[in-house]
Parts: sequence; structure tokens; C-alpha cells
Amino acid sequence: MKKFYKKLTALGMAALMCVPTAACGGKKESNTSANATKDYVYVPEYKTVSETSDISNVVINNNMIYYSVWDYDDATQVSSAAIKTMELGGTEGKTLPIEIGENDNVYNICTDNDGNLIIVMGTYNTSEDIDEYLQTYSLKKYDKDGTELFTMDLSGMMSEDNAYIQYACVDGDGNIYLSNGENKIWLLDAQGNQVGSIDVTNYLQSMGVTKEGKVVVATYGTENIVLQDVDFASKSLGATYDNVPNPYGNLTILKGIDKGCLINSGNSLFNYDFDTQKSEEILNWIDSDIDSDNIVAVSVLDDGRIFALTRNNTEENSSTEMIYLTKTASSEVTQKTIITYGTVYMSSRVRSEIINFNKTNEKYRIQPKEYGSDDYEAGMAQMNSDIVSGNSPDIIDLSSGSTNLYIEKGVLEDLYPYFDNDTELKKEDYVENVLKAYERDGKLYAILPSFSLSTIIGKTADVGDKQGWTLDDMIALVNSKPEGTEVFQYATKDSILTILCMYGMDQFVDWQTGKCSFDSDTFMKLLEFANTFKSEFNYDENEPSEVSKIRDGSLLLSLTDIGDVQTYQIYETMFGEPINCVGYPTQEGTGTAISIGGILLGISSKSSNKEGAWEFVKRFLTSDYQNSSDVYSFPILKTALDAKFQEAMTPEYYVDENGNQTEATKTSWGFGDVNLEVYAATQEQVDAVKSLIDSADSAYEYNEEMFSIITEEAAAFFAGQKDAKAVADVIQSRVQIYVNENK
Amino acid sequence: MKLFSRLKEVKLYKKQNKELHCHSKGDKKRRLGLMLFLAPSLSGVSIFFILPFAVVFYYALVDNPISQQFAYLDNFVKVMGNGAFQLAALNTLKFSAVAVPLAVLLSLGLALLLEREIPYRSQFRTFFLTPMMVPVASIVLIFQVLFHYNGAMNDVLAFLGISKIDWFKSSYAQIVIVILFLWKNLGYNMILFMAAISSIPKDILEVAVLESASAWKIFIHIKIRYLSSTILFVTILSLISSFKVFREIYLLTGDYPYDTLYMLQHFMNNTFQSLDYQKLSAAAIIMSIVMIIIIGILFITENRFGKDMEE
Repeated sequence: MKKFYKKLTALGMAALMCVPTAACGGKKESNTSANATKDYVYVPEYKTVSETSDISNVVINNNMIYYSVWDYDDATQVSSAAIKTMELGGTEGKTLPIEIGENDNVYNICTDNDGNLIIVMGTYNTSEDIDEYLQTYSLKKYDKDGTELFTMDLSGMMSEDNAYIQYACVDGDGNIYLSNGENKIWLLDAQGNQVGSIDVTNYLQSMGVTKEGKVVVATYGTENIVLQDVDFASKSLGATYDNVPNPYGNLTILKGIDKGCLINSGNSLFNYDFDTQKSEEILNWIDSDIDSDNIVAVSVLDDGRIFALTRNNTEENSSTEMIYLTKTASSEVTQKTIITYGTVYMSSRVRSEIINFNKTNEKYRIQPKEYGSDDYEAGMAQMNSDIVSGNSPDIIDLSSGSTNLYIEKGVLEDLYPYFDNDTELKKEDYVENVLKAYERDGKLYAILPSFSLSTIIGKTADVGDKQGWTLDDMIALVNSKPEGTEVFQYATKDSILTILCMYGMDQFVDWQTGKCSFDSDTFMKLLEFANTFKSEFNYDENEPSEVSKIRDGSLLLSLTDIGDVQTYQIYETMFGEPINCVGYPTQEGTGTAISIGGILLGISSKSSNKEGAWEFVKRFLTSDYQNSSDVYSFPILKTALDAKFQEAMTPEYYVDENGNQTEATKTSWGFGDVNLEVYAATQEQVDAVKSLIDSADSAYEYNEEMFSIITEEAAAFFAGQKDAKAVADVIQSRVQIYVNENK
Repeated sequence: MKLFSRLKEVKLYKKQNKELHCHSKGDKKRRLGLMLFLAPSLSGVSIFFILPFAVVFYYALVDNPISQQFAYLDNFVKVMGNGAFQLAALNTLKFSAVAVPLAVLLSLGLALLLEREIPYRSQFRTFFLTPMMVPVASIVLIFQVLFHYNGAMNDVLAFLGISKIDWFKSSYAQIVIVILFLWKNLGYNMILFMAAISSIPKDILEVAVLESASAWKIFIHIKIRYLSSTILFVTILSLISSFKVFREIYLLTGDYPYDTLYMLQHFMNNTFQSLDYQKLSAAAIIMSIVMIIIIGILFITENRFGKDMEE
């Protein structure tokens, strides 16, 4: 008996062991690009440069910066270009006596060891006939003061199919390497004489010179990008080097600090060692408060500092900064409270705000943690795993989806108390229904700084003047039109099914009771309706434009996102008669949904620095941000929204060739054979947009799981293999399980 | 005399105590050695099984992994009342109730058949074992080719004038999976039974034959009695395999299959992905309790039935 109990216990334990393996189906985790704590940081020192023109082709040699500038005079409609030089640490450039004609373009500048400038210049002819447009390339060499040493015409070297220069480099011996980046590398001696060329089979991602003076290219290997020597002597590509950082993205090759090269890619600067074929991140631009999007040039200075030149072009102002980055022990840098910002992919707007926040805030510092470096799903799984395991970022970027899931799981903090306690912001100042879209039980879980509206537009004569309609209304409208009338431009069976289900899902899923009704007549009707569309859209360039079709009545409706008054005006012009944003067919509501205008933020309920997180999140709600030109869609701040409306109604003028003040177009959209232009909006148009904003009552979140089931099963119906009933039954069975699981 | 005997007792006690002391010293060393040998596997079991189980137990008792508020038995109540869990449990139960007895009976039948002197015995044995060598991905591919809506089986049905069946998305789905399960598991079970049959004492069988016992009586009263522990083992093994059929179903039909194919492992896998750790943990504990009960019942049955054979 004792033996029996022993056995029983053993088997019990075996059964118990099944439990921890119960959830072994999780997806693989990816490496995040999150920054580990480093022993050192590169501390930036900024110097604003007085240069206002567009800067490009920046090179640094012997403590001198050389660059080309380009300007366009609106008044005279004449462009001008020059090559300038500036001492490192200086603030004003000096124009070199290098003549650049109106028809000349400076494509590349590089320097040799003697400090001479090698410039690739293109000159195009002035023929008005586009077929006769021709550009010829020349290679020019100047000394450091701008005195010309020689000019070589490159036309003879290039053929018609590779007549452009993308990369130019000079090696340690003064030899010149030119490439079109596609299939050719030309080799020239120090005097500009061609000594050979190399045919390359793959596109070049970059070409650069190492600390040792050898030229290397970054090109696609068998699986990803590799570095490869360019052998001048044998006129061929030489040794290949693997483990290039960010092997799928853009990269720039620069001279290394002590040896080898640096690779600048995305948010990071890597050191690459050719001996070990290993790379190491030495600098994260965001950590050094630099927006990688603004970097024009990077170089290593002789004293080991890293130099970066940035150019920030905004509608309000443009500025050029020289930044000197000095390697400093972390312990020597003022420590701030770290607030982590978790995102799958970092938006450039958020990155810019992080950098500005880090530069100005004395108490907190935002540390971005980007999860989806090369795999979205793995990145999302890793972020979810971090959130659940207690390593949640303080601020969570919700624009990638999962907002409802996070709200349901208690991941997100209620933001209303922060509004209430904030001395600068009042929740009453923001568009209520947009806030309400992310409100549950009186608690606000996400901040949407700007938004647009997803809707369907039709002629009032067709869709009536009320907002909101049902699927039956839509089908009745379609049936009332002559056969062959298109319902939506470029619509296919799949797209129509997805769109109609996406915004009308409440008709088929009742999350309160957990009941699905995909086996209902309404859904079968929807399937039948979707089946009347084409299986796939074949683009025909001779087809009339969307505008023409709408105007002649052969196209009924337009699906669109309205993010400003001009878009509404364009549609009004397009239809040529009164329009109504009738919305997507739904059982209840208006069918017009709030779309995310790029940024959606929440604060982790488990954050230990919620106040600091709010400090950052509220930046997107401030008047400065809301009124900035970077907010492309509707701002959420009522005063900023009103200012946008006012701006839309304010006419702009220009003086025409006869000296008369003429109203300028606000925007214009080209539709093949038709060009639509809109001017200042009328009060009625603005009121229509306001009414549309007021009517939007929900923010839609795409449910990938449900849609993949619906589209997968509907395919059999669209292919004629199953009837609508059979397909609807299977969808009902599968989606019902999903709903039950998540109820 | 009494004193003398008392002294003798004391001496004996001292001697025994000394021996005991010496014994416990050696025993201590021995135990330490044993513990050292056991340490790697004990730590492995602790880290990979006992600790995760503790975590699972903890998650089952909190409201969600973020706020981690104690929720008493709410999660168990919610899971028991969840439609998806009920469906998964019912399907798993139905599948195991059909597939496990079939797997045991058919493999036993095959073992008995192949034990007899029949032609191509060895070839048949190899034939039944081959599914074990086929990777799951290939099995899934084969079954997709056979049972897809546009697959071979429906071609045969069409040839016979019968309308197509959506094998994986209709009430027929479990039949297909039972076939797949049997095809994959029969060979291994059969080998286990063949080994057990060969270990039945020949003299007892010969005596039974001499005593004119019928083949049926020999089977029931001798073979089954001797095979009882193997039957139990094969049953438990098949039961565990029946729970693991999720892998094939998942590869055939994905996260959300037709409702007859939705198993407990689907529920757990999906709740893991949707961060419902508390639901997942409660379901896992309920499942393990049910497994312990089922295995316990099997053990009690075997203990009663095959006790005399063991002795």
C-alpha cells in the first residue's frame, strides 16, 4: 500500500509539472534597442551657427569644415549655391572663391590628406524639352583656399544607364573613388585620371574611408548588409566583413576613432572593428539630446571628440548647430530621475519632444526604449512581457494598438487626477468627445494630442443630410443606382468587408453579453454585398479619375480621413454639390470614428515616477505644442482648434504678374485629369467640420485576431467554394470563442 | 539478582546508544553525499517546476498581474463560468474519452495480433512504428492535403457523388483529429504491449492450455491480469498525449479553430497572449487537479485489479 501511495504521489507530481508548461506557446522575444546603463556618456556642447541657407555635403579636414549651401530667392525666383568653409568652433562661414553657376549642382565634396577639396559637380543644359534634358558631371580639385587645381570631365567615363554620382571618397594615397551606388565604382588617381572601374552586382548602401585610409562599401551580402574593401590595386572588391549593425537600415561609414570605422545608423553611432568583425554602440544620439533626423554630418575630431552638425528646419524657424560630444564618465554627469518611454517604433515627433524635454528639464530625463527594431510582433510581445512582469516603461506609446487591452488589464493610470492637480492645464479646455474616446467609467487612460476623423462621404442628394446610416441604407442606395455604378474607388471584396466590419463591429459583437451574431442575416447580407465588388483592383492608367467618376455619377462614395478643414473643402469641390459625411454603416451612432493623429500616450499604473511621466506627457497638451505647425491633424486643445479654423477661414493673397492682389489657394490636390484647388473656408464649411467632430463618438482600434478570422473564412465564399451561410457559421463559431475568451 | 540484571540492561543500553551514535555519524555523511548528488536535479526541479508552480498559484489568486490585488477564489469562479473554458474543457474531455480508450484497445489488439505467427509480422511492426518518425509539420501537411476542403478526401467523396465536407470546420473535425492521434500513437503503445506480453510467464499459459482453458479465458484471466500495470501506463501516457494533441490542432487550424477543436491548451495559449495570466493560472490549476484525480482513479483501479500480480 505504501508503495502505491508513493507511486500516486509521483504521478501527482508529474501531473503538477504539466501546469507550468501550460503557456508554452508564447512568441519569441526580440532584443530591444533599449539602452543599457553605460559607464560613460557623450556630453554635448552646442554652438549655433549663423548659416541660414540649406547646408549639405559637409566634410571636416584639419579642423576646418567645408560645406555647400543652397538658397532660393522667392522674389527673383533665382537659386544660388556656394562652397563655404568655417573653422571648428566658429559660428560664421567664409565663402570660397569657387564658381558655381545657376545650372550647376554640387553633388559631393571630399578632402584628401593634404587638405585639398575634391568636388563632384553636375551641370544640366537649359533646354525646355524634357527629352533633351542632359546633365554632365565634372570632377574638380581645389586647394584649401579654393584655388582650382584641375577639372576633369566625367562624361566620357559614364554611360547613359549610370550617368550619376552618388558617392565620392578619397583614400589615404589620394586616389579618388566615385560610384553611382548601383552598379559601378570608378577608380581615379590623384590627378583625376581614370585608372579603372569595378562592376558591382548589388546596390551600395554607403561608401566611406576608414581610419587607416582604405575605402570600404556597405553592400547587400547573401542575407544582409556587409562591409567590403575596395581594392584599388586589383580593381575589384576585396575582403568581406560581417556583423554590420542595423543590417537592414540606412547607414553611413565614417573614419573610426582609433582604428577601423564608425557606422552611423538610426539613433546610434557604432564602432566597427575590422579585425574582430564586431560592432559596439558607442553613442546613442537621443542620450546626447540630438535628433538623428537632423544630423547633416558626423566626424571624429583629432582630440577624440565627436562632432555633429545638425540642421533643424521647421516652418517657424531653421537653425544650424555644431555639437561637440565629449566622452565623460557617467558619474561625472548630473544624475536625473529616469523616466522610461516604451514604444514599438519611435515617432520622429516624439523623439524631438524627448530631446527638447531632456535638454530643458532639470529633474527628469526620458529614456526611450524601442522594442520593435526589426520585428513588430516580437517587439510588441516583448513590450507586453515587460509590462506584465513589472518592468513596464513609465510612459507607454499606445499608437501601435492594444489600448483597450491595457485599459482592461489595469496597465494604465487614470490621467484625470493629473489634469485636476495641474496648474497649467484644465480638462475643460480640450475637445470632450476626443477625451471621452479613451475614457472608461469616468477615468481617462490615454492622451491623444491630435486626431482626424474616419468617415464616408457622399452627395447629400444620395445619402441624405443626417449623419449615420445602416448597412441596409447603403445597400438600398447602391441598388437604386444603375448597374455598374462603383460604390468606392479601388474597392475590392476584401477591403469592403474589412471596412464595413471594422466600423460596424458592434452590430455583430456585443461585448456586454459576449454574444456574437455573425450567423445573422445582417452579416450574410454584408458578405453578399462585399461579394458584388471586384476580387482585386487592376490599375488602369486610362481610367477616368476619382473626381470625374464622382461628378458623372459612376462613383458614389468616398472613404476618407479628415484631419483639417481643407480636406473637407477638397471633398466638397470634388463632389461639386452639397456633401454629407454620413459615416460608416453602423447599427447605432454616427459611424464617424476618431483616428489617432500619430501619437497616443498613456502612463503606467505601476510607474514609480508618475509625476515625471505626466511632466512629459503634458508637453503634448500645452498651447505651444497644440499650436505648432507640426500638428498636422486637428489639435485637441479647443483654442488651438479654433485657431486652426480661423486660419482656414483667413484668405491668403499674393501679388500677380499684373501687380494685383489675388487670393492664393490654401491647398490643391491633383487627380489625374483634374486639379482641385481650395481657398479660404467659409463659416458653413467650418461649421460642417465642427459638427463632424462633435458627432464622432468612438476611437476605433483594429482587432487583428477577429479580422484575420473573418477575412480568412470569407475567402472561401468569395472564391465561390462555400455559401454565405456556411462561411457565416464558421466565423460565428471561431469569433465566439475569441469573444468568450476575452470577455 | 535484580540489580545485576538492571546493570546489564544499562550496559546494553549504553552499548546500543554508542552504536546508534556511530551509525548516525556515518549516516549523516552518507546523507550529505546523497544530498550533493541530488542537489543539481533538486535545484532544477525547484527552479523549473516548483517555483513556476508557486508563481502560477500566486497569479491564480490575484486580480491581475499589474495591480496584483488578492482576489480569493474569484479567478477560479470566473474561469469555471467562462464559456470558452467550458467549451475547451468539454472538447478536451470528449476527445480524451474517445481517443484514449481507442488508443489503448487498438494498440493492445494490434500487439496481440502481431504476437501471433502471422506473415509479414516484422514488416507490420515497422509499418505501425513509422508515424513516430514523421515530424509533426509533415503529419500536419499530410492531413491538410487529405482533409482540406479542396483535399483528397473530398475528391473521393465528389467521385462518389457525395457533397464536400469541411473536415476541419464542422462537427467532423474531432473525428479527423482522433484519426490523426491514433495514427501517431498506436505504434508506440503497441510496442509497449508487445514487451509486456512477452514477459507473461510461459509456464502459466501452458498450464492453462493443458487445463483446456479457452483463448478468451486465458486472455481475461491471465494476460489482462499480467498486462494491467502496462495498461495503466499506456492509458496515462495516452491521456497525456491526448492533452498534447493541441500542437497538431494548432498547426492545422491556428489560435481560434472551429469550436469542436478548441482545446484547453488553446485557452491557455490565447489567455497567455492576451496577458490574462490570472485566468490562465486558475485554468492550469483546475486542469492539474482534474489530472491528479483521473490519474489517482486509474491508480486505484490498477492497484485493486493487478495487486496480486505485483505481489
